[in-house]
Formats: sequence, structure tokens, C-alpha cells
Amino acid sequence: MQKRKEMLAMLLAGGQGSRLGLLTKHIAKPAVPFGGKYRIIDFSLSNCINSGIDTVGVLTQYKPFILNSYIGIGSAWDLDCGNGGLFLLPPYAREKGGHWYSGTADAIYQNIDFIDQFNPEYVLILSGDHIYKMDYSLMLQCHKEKNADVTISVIEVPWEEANRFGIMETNSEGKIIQFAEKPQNPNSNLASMGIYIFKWPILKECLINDQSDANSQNDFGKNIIPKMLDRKMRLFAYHFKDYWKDVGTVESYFSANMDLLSGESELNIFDDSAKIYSVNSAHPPHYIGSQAEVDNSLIGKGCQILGKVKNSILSPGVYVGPETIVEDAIIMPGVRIGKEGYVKKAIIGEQTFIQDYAQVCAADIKEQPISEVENHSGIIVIGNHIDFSNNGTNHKTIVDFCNKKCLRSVMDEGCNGSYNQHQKRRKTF
Amino acid sequence: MKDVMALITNTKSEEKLSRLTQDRCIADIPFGGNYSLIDFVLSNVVNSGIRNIGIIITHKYRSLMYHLGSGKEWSLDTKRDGLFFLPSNNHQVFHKPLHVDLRDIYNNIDYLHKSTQKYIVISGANVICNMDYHPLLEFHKRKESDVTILHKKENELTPEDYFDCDFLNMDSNHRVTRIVGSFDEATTHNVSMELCILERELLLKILDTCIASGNWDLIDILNENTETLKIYAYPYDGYAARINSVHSYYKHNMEILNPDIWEKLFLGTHLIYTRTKDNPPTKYDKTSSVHNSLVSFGCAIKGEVKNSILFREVKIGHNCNVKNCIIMQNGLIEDNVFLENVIIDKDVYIKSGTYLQGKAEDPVVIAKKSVI
Repeated sequence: MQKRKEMLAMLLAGGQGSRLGLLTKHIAKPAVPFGGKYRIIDFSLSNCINSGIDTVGVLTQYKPFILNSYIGIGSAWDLDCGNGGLFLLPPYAREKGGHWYSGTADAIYQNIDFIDQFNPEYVLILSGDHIYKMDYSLMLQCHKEKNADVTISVIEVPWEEANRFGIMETNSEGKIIQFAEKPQNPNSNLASMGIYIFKWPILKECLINDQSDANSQNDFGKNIIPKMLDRKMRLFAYHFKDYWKDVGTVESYFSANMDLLSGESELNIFDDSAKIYSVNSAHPPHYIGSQAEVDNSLIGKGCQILGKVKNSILSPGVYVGPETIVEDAIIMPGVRIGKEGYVKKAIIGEQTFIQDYAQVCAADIKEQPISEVENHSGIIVIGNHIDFSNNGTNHKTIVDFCNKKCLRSVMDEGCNGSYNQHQKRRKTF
Repeated sequence: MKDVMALITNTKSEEKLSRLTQDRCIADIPFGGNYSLIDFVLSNVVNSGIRNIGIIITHKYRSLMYHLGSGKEWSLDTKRDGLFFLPSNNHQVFHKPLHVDLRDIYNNIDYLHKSTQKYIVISGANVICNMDYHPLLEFHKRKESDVTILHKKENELTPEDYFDCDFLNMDSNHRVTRIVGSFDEATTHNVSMELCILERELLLKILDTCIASGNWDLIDILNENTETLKIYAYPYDGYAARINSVHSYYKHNMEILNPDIWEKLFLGTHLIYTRTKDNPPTKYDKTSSVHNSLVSFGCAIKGEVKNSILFREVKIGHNCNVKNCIIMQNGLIEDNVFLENVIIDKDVYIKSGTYLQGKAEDPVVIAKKSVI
């Protein structure tokens, strides 16, 4: 029998994240690299352990292999502990068959037995796609003080953006009196962050209730919370005042990365008191060449920079060739960019190989050129594991895709062959 | 390699490294922006598939034990075999430094008895390279050798480099005729890499003779038995650096600024593992200017850095000029500081306006936790 836990966390990490386009073509959103070192899920998992929560269920569903192998048994976050720890919870079969997680609430409903093993007083519901640092124990304290049935973490958003969020209206005590999902004329600018603390017996009852409602979408924001409000339960808001960003779209993902570069970043990843932990690969320190220039950038382990890098975030193991310029870009792990190229306002996927002289910059074309390259309102996204150095179709299409003014005829001459070497490097990482 | 275990010893002379070994042993001297010297041999051992590793700890081993911990980073926190610390119990004050001190091994003879592997690799920690031991084991078996010593042919050694080295005199068949401690007696430039492989049973037999004879130096014993024991030398031709003085420490650190050597040492045969610290990536400020440098994680750079190695969490202020320096973990360099040819140990705080210049052949060493 497990020792009773005061609170355990359930982390929703199964969504497809289709708005991230190519970034989530092969991997689940929480496993997308972030900030030159991390993966998105690092933030929620590190918050858990930094808040004293040692039991975390991670609900997975969409393309989970990389996410699963990244998380492992949670040792990177000290979650490989006895009497608790980290549990990966994919959908599973029962006597009468099984079914996929059909919504956020359904995912928790299907794991009621898992939660009951620990017999917790409270359950914390988290999303795996938010960038923030938060001490959940303070939220729990607030939850206890108000004797709430559910406490919802909220953040003030600009009024003009309030219609994009689930908006909470509270009274002077912080009690939620009204909830509106994406309201046309919001009465408040307190947006739900999708972080909830429930009394477990109450949540359990609500989940079972919700399952019997055939019209329900089994979603916390759309169903569970409004029903609790209708039943006049005690819903309270917890005001979160620090940095928080939902990285659900390419634009927000890009700007959340760039926030790390802005002079006084509100998200202090350098703060030792609450570190963001991640799986550390065995890369050596990075090397900055004699002719290289690095300006206002974050550079990860094992990079080799021979060209110029400005306002960019480079993940581990990136190679930037001589006289190549990389500007306003996010480069994922293991990317190799050849010599004399130009990359501007782009996100380049893991292990992709950009040939010499390539120009990857804001395109002025409207339609989608090829499946491996996307344009999200001016941000170019290139997928994972693509080799543009082949003299095949890819090579031509990146030419067509990019701004014609930037093209050089030398592109057709192809790459000067260090691709094999790069393959070898890939293997070692 | 299932049948091989390893012992890492720690008996090299600290005479010329004393400025770096005040509160650490040689094996734990920081190197290459992120590593301790022992990381290289330990990673070689692990990456070759050896899973039973004893580390002999003799003195000033607190930081080494902290660094290695449970051996998790090297996948050695296992139920079967794993990482073992072997204390030497050697309290002699004036003992002569031996090449390989068998007393340390004898004190832990139970560990040898308990181990099940047929072969044993004995290695020092001050020679760094990135190699796989499979060819060495194969050579050892093929030659039906009793003891096989790893060596490297060095053609461009300076007298500085000879210090505390063993040279292997051998015949054309790689059979070692004599191991000599000074270059004058050496007939070749074959420098021992402080690593040998032999059968565990043979080592136990040698320990028996040590008790009888009172001679505890493995090299002496091998020299006395070159006729009866088949001692072979296995040549290594990759990059190797021997750290035996502050001079060589500085030289080899600067050497890895060469991208070829950087790649060979860190990404060559396999990866080098070390204790991880979960530092964020390094932040380069708008005002920074960094050239030909190796930079670790969690640094924040605002000034100018050239031909230098920065370890973890080093902070360089505005208008600094750092040239040909090694700055170890957690160094805090305030604004307007000039540093040239300086080795700065861990946790040093250099206040604004400081000017420090060493000689290229004899860099200044600033001790750990200094405030300047």
C-alpha cells in the first residue's frame, strides 16, 4: 500500500499541437526543444520537483516515442524516487476494450484508479506546453486557506487579447463568479492558465458525472469548470504575477524563445534557487571560431560557430559554417548550416542539414511550397531530419521557396560534401 | 569487455602541479571547460564496455568523490559491479612516489578477490585521450601477452614534457625490454600512457611477491621480470595529452582550441561524460566579442574574450579584455578587467579595474576562492 500523498500532479502531455505545424510533425508538443537546452515539458516537471511534488502522472497519447525516451523514469528531475515518482500514462485497454483520451477531463477520468492508489487529498492538473516558473505549493496554500473545491491559476492579460482566453470574473475575495470561454466582450482580463488544484474526492465525482453526459466534450475548461460553477461550488482564482506563456502556436513559441534574449528576461533561467532541469547530453563546451561573431544570443553545448550569430538561440550540437549569418533564428539540436549561407527569422528542425550558400529568409510567396518548409506569418519553419544537401528535389525547392532576391547561382552547384561527416556526428549525439 | 575490470590509480607526482592541487587530487583537476581529468579515462573505460571499476583514493579526495558520486553519469550506479572507491590506508609521510603503488591495491585485495573478471586494466588519470580499449585487449590476447602497456610515440617532446614519464625500450616485435624513468636512458620516444592490461590472477600473484620482497612498485617488478613475463607495448596513435605540470596543463588546454583536436577529443571515438549541473545555455550580450574560445554552460559574457577557455557559470563584465586565459567554474570577472595568460581556479572574484598579466610560458595561477 502506498503512503498517502497530500497532492499529486497530472500533466497533460498527449495533445497533438497541430498549430505548431512541422515542429510537432514527428514529436509530441511537450518534447519540442526550447531555449537552447530545454524541452517544453522541462518547465512543468521542474516546477513540480521545485514545489515539493514527487508524484507526477504524465498523460501521453500523440507520437510519444521521443517524449517517452526523453522522460524515461524521470531521473533528470529527481522524480525517480521510491514511494512516488514519475509515471507515464498512455491510454490502456480494459475488460471491454479501451479508447483514446477524448479530452483533458477524459484523460484524468481514465486514470482514476492510478490516482486512487496514492489516495491524495488534492490533485494538481497541469499542461505540458507552458513556459513558466511557478511554485505550486503557494497555490496549494491559497487553495487550503480558501477551503476551495477548485483553485484556478489566472494571469492578467492585455484587455485587447482577453477574447482569446478563458476569462474568469472574481469577487473581492477571489471567488470566481463567472467564467467565459473566449468572450466577445470580456468583463475581466483574468485568463485561466489551465492549471488547477482540485480536492480529489470532488474532482472524482465531477469526472464521473461528466462521463455520463453524452453531450460533454470531456474538457476541463469547457465542461468541468462551468458545471462546477453552475452547482455553486467553491471556485477560487490564484493570481500568478510572473512570466507565463502558452507556446501553442509557432508565433508564440518563437516569441517565448526570443523573450529569453530580451535584456531583462522575466523568465530567469539563470536563477539557481529554482533551476529548470533537463536531460543533459554529453556535449563538450561550445567553440567560437576566430572569425566568428556572437551577438545577443544563447548558445548551447557542443556548438561549433565559425560564422555570425545574432539574436538567435542555438541548441546543442549546432554547426554554423564560416561566413554564414544566422539572425533572429531558433536552431534545434544537431543542425548543420554550411558556409556562406544566410538564415533569417527561421526555426530549423532537429538534425536538419542546410547546404552551403543556402538562403533561408523571409519569403514573399503565399502558397506552401513543399511539405518540409512552412511559412507562419513571416517565420520560416523547416522540419526535422531533412537533408537539403542532396541534389534531389529538396535542393531545388528550398531555392524556390526563398526570397528570389537572396538567391545566388552557386546554390545549384550543390554542397561540398561534408555530409558524411555530419552523419557521423549525428550518430555520436 | 564483459571479462575486463578496471582500476584507476592516482600516484603521479604533484610536484609541478601543486598550484592546482591544493585542495584536490590530480584526477580532479578541471580541464577543457567542463571536465575533470578522470572523466577521460573513466569515459574510455565505460565506453569500452567495462562495468566494474575501482578508483583508488589516496589523499585530498573529497572533491573527487563528490564529482563521481554514485557514478550515475557514467551509468555505473548499477546493482551488478559498478563504481567502487578504494581507500589506500597509506599513512606514510615520506614515502617515495611510485609509478604504480601496489600497496594501494593490496589494501583492497578483497575487492580483487570478489571481482569475477579475467582481465584487469590499470590506468592513471593524468593522460587524457578518447579511445576504445577493444583493440588493446585483442592485441593482448593475440600476442599471448602477460602484460600489455599502452604507449604513444612522441617525436616533439620538450624537456618540460619528460617530467615524471616512463619510456618503453622495446624490440622490433613490440616486446618491452626495459621501462625507464628518464629520457637519457631511453632508446626510443615511446612514452608510456600509464595504462596496462593483465590478468587478475597475475596481479594477485605479483601482489604475493610484493609482500615477500617489500618492493611495491609495479614498474620495478616488471623490469625485473622482462625475461619471464611477456611484456608487450601497444601503440596508440590518436590525440593524447599528458598533464604533469602547470605548463603542460596550460599548453594542452590551449591546444583544444584547435577545432580538429576539439573534435577528436570530444566527439572522436565516443563521448566524454562528466557530472552534470543543469546550467542554462550561455548568454552572449550585445556588447560581447568572443573569438577562438571554448565556452561552457551557464556563462554570461559582456566583454571581450579571445583564445580562452571558460568553464561553467563564468561571468565576464563590460569592457573586459580576457586573452589566453583559463577561467574555471563560477569565476566572477567584474567590469574593466584585463587578464592575459592567467589560470583562474574555481569561485574566484576579480574586482573591477584589475590588471593581471602572466607570461605565456608561465601563466599566473589564481588560487580557488581568491578575491582580487
